[in-house]
Amino acid sequence: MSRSLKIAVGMSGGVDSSVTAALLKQEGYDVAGVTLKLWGGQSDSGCCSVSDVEDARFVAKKIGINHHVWGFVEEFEEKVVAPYVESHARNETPNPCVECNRHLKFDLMLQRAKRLGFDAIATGHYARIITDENKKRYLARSADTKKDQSYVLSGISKDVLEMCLFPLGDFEKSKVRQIATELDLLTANKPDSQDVCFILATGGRKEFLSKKIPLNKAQIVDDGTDEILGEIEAMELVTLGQRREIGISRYGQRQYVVNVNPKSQQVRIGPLERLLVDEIRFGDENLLIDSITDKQKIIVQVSAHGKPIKATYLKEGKILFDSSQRKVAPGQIVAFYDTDNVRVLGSATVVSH
Amino acid sequence: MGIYLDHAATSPIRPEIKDLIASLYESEFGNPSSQHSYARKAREILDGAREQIAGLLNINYGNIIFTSGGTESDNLALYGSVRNNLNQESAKISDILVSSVEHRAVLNSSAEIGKIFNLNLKKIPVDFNGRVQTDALEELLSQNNGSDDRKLVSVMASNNEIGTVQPFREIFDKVKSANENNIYHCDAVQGAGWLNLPEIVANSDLVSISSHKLGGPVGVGALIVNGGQKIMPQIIGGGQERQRRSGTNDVIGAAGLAMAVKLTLEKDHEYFKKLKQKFVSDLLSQVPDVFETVPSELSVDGMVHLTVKNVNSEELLFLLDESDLAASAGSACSSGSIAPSHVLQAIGVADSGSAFIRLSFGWSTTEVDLNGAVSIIKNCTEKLR
Repeated sequence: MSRSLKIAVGMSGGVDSSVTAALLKQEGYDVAGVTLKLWGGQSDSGCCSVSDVEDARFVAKKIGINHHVWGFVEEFEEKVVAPYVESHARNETPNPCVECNRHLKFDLMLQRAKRLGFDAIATGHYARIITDENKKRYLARSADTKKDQSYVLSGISKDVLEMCLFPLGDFEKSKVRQIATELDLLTANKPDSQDVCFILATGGRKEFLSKKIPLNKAQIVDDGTDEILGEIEAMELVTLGQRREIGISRYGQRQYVVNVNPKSQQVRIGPLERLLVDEIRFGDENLLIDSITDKQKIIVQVSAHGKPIKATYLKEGKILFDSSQRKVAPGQIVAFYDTDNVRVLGSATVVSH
Repeated sequence: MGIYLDHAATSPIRPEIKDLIASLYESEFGNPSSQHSYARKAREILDGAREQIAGLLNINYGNIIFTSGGTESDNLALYGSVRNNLNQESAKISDILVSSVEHRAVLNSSAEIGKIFNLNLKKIPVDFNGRVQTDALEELLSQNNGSDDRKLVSVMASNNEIGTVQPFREIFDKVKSANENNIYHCDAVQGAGWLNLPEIVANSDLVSISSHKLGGPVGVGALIVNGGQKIMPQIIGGGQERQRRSGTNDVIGAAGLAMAVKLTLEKDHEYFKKLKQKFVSDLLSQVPDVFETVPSELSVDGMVHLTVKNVNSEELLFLLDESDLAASAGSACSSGSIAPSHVLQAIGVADSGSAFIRLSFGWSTTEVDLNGAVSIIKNCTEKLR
């Protein structure tokens, strides 16, 4: 008798990963639940995220699998938190979830799972692995495109696709909650996590960053007239295209942040047309396929829930949009998809808009 | 069947104690504080347990306070001593001195009690093997805050993580020669099974013990008060245990503790010493890049703490568990991941490139277990390297 595949399921203590583990167990795999202990500081879920770990443990017991806690606190600080802070200090807009998936879940956790004899890891991400006629594996968008999380997975290495499973990729979120309710899992009605896990909802980014780096004031300047319109407290927290908290409407038009200039300490605002660009430059490319050819037509996505944008890929490190788009903040991830908007081709970090 | 080498966490109950408890639960019930035959029978069992422990430890039977276990005993020793400060004008406790490798039950409670009563809390440093530096203790004892201030010193008999035996006789001498009214509390929850408990009691004012580490039932322990130190209650109610610990007595638990102490004192220590020697020499000769974190001669016979080079603790424990060998690493955080151990940090070996595992023996440990453990540790270590 051949043994069943041994799968480590990353269980955050939320409904998606709970159902992931339950489904794999039902399918007869040899499943173990693993909760990563990543953050050593304060979090909304309490010291050591005890309550989330407890939820995961409880669910694991309910579905009849072993549960383990793997600690990667130092590595999380080094690979996710510190780069997040440094990126903000450079006035960029980082995406820590992409980095966590890249370095923690789909590298450290996966490598450990491999060493401990697991054949694969699975998570509750809404994404799919599809295979072509040669059994080659690709990362792809989930069937429920509203919930699709392929963007935050686009930074993982293509070498790990062999060992990854995303069982929720074909499900609608509502179906997942329904399964959780049917299985009487205590996480069935737990709200989705929203924000950066290591930042408290009460203090927000500002309080978190202010303890790590100096936050600088900046003038709010009209990009067209150079007129000084006011002042903003923390330039490092401003993102291109932002309207919130700037709160100025001029000439009967909505105003957006169209430029942040750390040197002159200016946040420049203007109407939408001043925000539009035809291209972005990128660096730190990570490909999930063998190669993308120069001038290949692709679809890009520039934020976690951003819309698909038609564009052309230039090997030199440039994306040309088919039609003008809002600027993208440096530090953001640009994910590449094929023209069917299904397969993820890779991703890169935006260096300039 | 698996190999259980985590007795320092808890020991399986000894069969004799299980039989005793089972038979007592069949035949006896009664609140020893009531006034009828059932109560009298219960009181007889409770007093019998108290007398038995007192006899074994050469103390007056009124000097045993039954508690719910080691943590409560430690808390009661510290709080119960310091609480007297509110009742007296002079000879108050001004400082609490604890070693930096104490169990959390002492470290965290002394920090809290120090805060509440506004005392100086001082850490006694340890050497690279985790032994208290008695010179440093002497220095801390000599720092005076006032002519008749007293100091409360808490140093364990042996360490729960690395097994290091503390020089408790010397500590007691220094504590008392600095000021005979100073108080020495010894947390013997781990040491009771492996060291000479009557000797620890004779060289302390207050001693904490716990039943389940000795093969008795969980949920019962005692604070032994040897020096006439007045203990104020931290649990207040019906005034049981001579007003020092209220709550209906766990009569059968106390009987279990008494038998556990008796069987522990009858234990063949030579047997365990030899077991450990062979285990350590097999491990060191068969598994590359493994060494004892603390040399055998400085630690109790019931514990081996290993440093395993180039392996991760969580990964090693995972594979040991899969091979049905129960061991432990560091101290588990409430979330279940392995927290950086304050003990290893204190002795300067908290190196993230090595695994640290504690293998602890008990009454049921056999040579067959230890031989099996050596080959499992060897295999699992090879897999990870």
